[in-house]
Amino acid sequence: MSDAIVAVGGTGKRAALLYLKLVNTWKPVNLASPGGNIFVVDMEPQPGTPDALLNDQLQSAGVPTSHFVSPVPSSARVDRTITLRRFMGFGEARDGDSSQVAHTLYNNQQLSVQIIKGMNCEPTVGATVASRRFVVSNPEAEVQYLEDRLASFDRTIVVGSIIGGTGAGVIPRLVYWLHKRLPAKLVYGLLFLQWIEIPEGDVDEPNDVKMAGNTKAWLNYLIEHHPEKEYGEGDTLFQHYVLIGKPERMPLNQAGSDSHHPLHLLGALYLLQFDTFLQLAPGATGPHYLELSTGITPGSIQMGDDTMEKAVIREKLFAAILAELKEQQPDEALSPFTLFAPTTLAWKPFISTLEKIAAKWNRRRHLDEDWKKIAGFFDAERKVSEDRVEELKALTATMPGARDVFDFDWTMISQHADANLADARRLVKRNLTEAPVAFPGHEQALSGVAAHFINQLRSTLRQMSIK
Amino acid sequence: MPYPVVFLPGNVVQPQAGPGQGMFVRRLELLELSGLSDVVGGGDIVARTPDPQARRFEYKKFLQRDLAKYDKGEPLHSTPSLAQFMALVEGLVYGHLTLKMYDLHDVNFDVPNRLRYLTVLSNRLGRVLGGTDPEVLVFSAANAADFSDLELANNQTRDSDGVQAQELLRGFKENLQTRGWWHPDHILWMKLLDHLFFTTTPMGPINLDALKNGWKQVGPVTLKVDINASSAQYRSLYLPVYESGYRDRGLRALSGVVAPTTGGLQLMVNNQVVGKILMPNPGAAGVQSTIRLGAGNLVLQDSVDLAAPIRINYDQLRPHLQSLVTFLRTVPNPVQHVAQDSPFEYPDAIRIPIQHDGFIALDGLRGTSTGGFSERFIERMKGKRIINVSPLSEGNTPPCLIQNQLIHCFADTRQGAVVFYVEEYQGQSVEELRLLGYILWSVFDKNAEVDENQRAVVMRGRPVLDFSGDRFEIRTNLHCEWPNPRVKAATLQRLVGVLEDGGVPLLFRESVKYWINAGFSHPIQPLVSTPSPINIGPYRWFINNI
Repeated sequence: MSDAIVAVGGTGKRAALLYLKLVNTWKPVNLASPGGNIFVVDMEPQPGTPDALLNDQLQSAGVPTSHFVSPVPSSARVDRTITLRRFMGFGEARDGDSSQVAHTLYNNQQLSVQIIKGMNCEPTVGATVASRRFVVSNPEAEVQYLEDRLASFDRTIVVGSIIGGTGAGVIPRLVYWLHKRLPAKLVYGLLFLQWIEIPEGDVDEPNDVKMAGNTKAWLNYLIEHHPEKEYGEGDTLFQHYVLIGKPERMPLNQAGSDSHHPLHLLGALYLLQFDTFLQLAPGATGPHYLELSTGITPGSIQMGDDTMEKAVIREKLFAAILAELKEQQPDEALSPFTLFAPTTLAWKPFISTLEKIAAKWNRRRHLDEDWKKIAGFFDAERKVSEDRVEELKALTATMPGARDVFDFDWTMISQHADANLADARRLVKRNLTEAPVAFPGHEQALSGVAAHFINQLRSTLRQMSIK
Repeated sequence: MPYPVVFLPGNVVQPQAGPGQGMFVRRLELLELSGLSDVVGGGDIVARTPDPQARRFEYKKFLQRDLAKYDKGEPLHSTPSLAQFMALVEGLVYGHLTLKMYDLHDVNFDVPNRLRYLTVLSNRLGRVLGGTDPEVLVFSAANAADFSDLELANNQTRDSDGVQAQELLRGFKENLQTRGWWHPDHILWMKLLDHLFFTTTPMGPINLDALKNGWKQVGPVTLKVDINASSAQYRSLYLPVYESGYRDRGLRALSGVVAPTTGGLQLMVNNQVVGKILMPNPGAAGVQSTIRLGAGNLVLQDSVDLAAPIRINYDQLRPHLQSLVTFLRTVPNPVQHVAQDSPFEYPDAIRIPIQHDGFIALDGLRGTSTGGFSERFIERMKGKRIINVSPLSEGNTPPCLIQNQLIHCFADTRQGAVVFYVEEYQGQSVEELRLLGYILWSVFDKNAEVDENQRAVVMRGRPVLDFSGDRFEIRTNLHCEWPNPRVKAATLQRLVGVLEDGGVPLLFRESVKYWINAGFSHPIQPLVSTPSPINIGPYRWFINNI
């Protein structure tokens, strides 16, 4: 079964990003293009803002730019100062003054929200804006594309917070639209409660009081849509959904901090394990919550046949072997005497591949230069890999509150990685084969063969049995 | 942090010690979800629900919470949403609030049908105090100052016209109850009205007729009335408002001159504007949309001259209101439906005429035939609220005389249709039989002439009888007379002799007989003669030759 993840608003994006970071560390075989199953519904951020940085990170992690969809109809996005009042056309009704409608349904503060800049912690505004975007029949290309892409997945998981304006406001309408447009697909929810504290400032700005109000209103909304609720609406939002909030004593993030919260990572883990959960409870409906019986250990996080611990060890081995490759010298690589050296990787596949490149592009005098370039690709990949592991380490070990959730013994993981390095090296050495050089140009050949070796390395390590 | 731990605030769920390690996904029960809502703070949230119509949902939530408190003995003033609900409902039925309907599609709201038409409640200054809602009847959107003003106005009305207004509201409830549309255990607005307005057991059912002079309706508003999934759960209903003398003024205004104006029909009596029937522009949705936007609501001024006569001006109303009654064609017993069974489903421009004139109003508004009755009969039955006149019963085969407790008439047939000549209906004298007899006598006695087209009878230069193609119409200002039997004995005998002629149609025979019996105490012996035949309309009659 394939799952699309629709991240709505800032919190949804954070959970999706961390999910992607986990996936990219894990590199599961069944995910050919991580990020291709992520869709983002949020306003277009101003360049240079934390929100824009989040978008950049998502794109770097693999989310295609075409998967970013604004909840605001395109016709309204030409004017960044457009208010809800003007967006809705209040005062322009055909028969009578519709400003009476405006004042019946909204307060002045809501009517003055400049919607392109964000929903200002006003979910009612978000819901109103989305109700014009996610209409049952919308000819806008972005929305049609979103529908077409989502249709190719078996299930949709909608992720966002219920504390702010965008996620909290847009999700109900988005889910309604999903039900209408893709009635055969099941829709699930991952909803975050408060994870950040914002002291009271300007009247138009988000703050703790507003967030608490939004949360309460949302929970009431969920109660209203609960099938067992007397006088309730009776219709179902999600097939099932999970609410994630902070337990007592877990700190909230401070306003102005751009860091993630452990709840986001917990949510990302839920997304990662979603399929496993559904196999355990295939008919689950209604609200759910997460409970930890112990801190999450890397060995307990299972995905397919693998665990997070093994994935991290493999990633460390991957980086270590790439580091060793980078340290080789070209003449060493070409020497037949090094073939049997115990600590170097100057193996025949490298030698023969370099020779073919030299022959094809007349580069025999530049073998040193070519090898350095290939080694450069190895090093870049190593750095990305090490960064991923370091980031995961930071998230699980040093992020405030993370130790309440995770029980990652990074020293032990490193020791396990070290203990497996010799075996890994041997296996890679045995399995590595010469790279094809059928490339149109010399430069492409260098990057192409580097990619070939990197993929072979990953593939070999994936087959390795970690002790 | 001690394990196991639940990732929710407020200890609303206790962790379960269970086998296994790591992360578990557990179900949150409805009660626990409610508990979570209680611990997250947020106070009395206002307009924060993720829905364009947040206020409706939130208000419903407050009402449920406050009703539970109220039922446990908390006073009304410490349950603010209930106090607001009461103020809004009272303000509405006392007439302190005005309603205006909006089609949310006009402002591009994509809403379910039951929420499509938003009714805005505002005070006389035009300030918005709330709206109506299918689940909770009314919801609040007002500030404290406007509420305070409304409560003050309600306090001043409560013990005067407010008594009748609350009776009318109870009548509204009883009407729905009669129709199986009262489910306070499942529909919140009904429960609220029961708990806040109908706290005492009534002595008996409300007599809406006794309240009719102040009975006004506003709307329509969409309300949940049924819980049966297989039937329509939501109905479009008009809410009762008590406004003293409203009906008297309304009937006179509807009897005035009708002139189209912006958004409605202006009503004028004695050259003075006395009111307006709202007729919003029909949207793309057509007549249903017009009705839902308030078409047919009657707005009256205080200045209506109560000395003005009541003769509802169907001729001028019909072109504008005809569309509002067309769908009644499919309703069995439509007059009874509007006048008695379901008055709260119709706007006042329809309800008031039908409750006043009965079937005559419906025919007048529709422009359809008056069921085989004459203009004279219709004229006399106006204001009598006759629901249904159906003289024919089993065993009556027209042409025939019908005489029972309700009606004395002759049922004639013309081209397959039955027409009635009514002598008396419900004790009300119409005198069509005796007048027709009198006219026929006058023709026989050469005191009246049949015109050259043989379709009308003229007496002393004035037309007294017309044949319209379907039936004879007697001029309404005609009075019956009888000759001195000593002077006209022989002519009368010849007339009686004519009646024994087999060629005299039954209608004519029975009419003349009735005229004779009504005017002469002694029987008149027939005398054979040879009168000249003449046609009156489709029937044969005679003129005395001697």
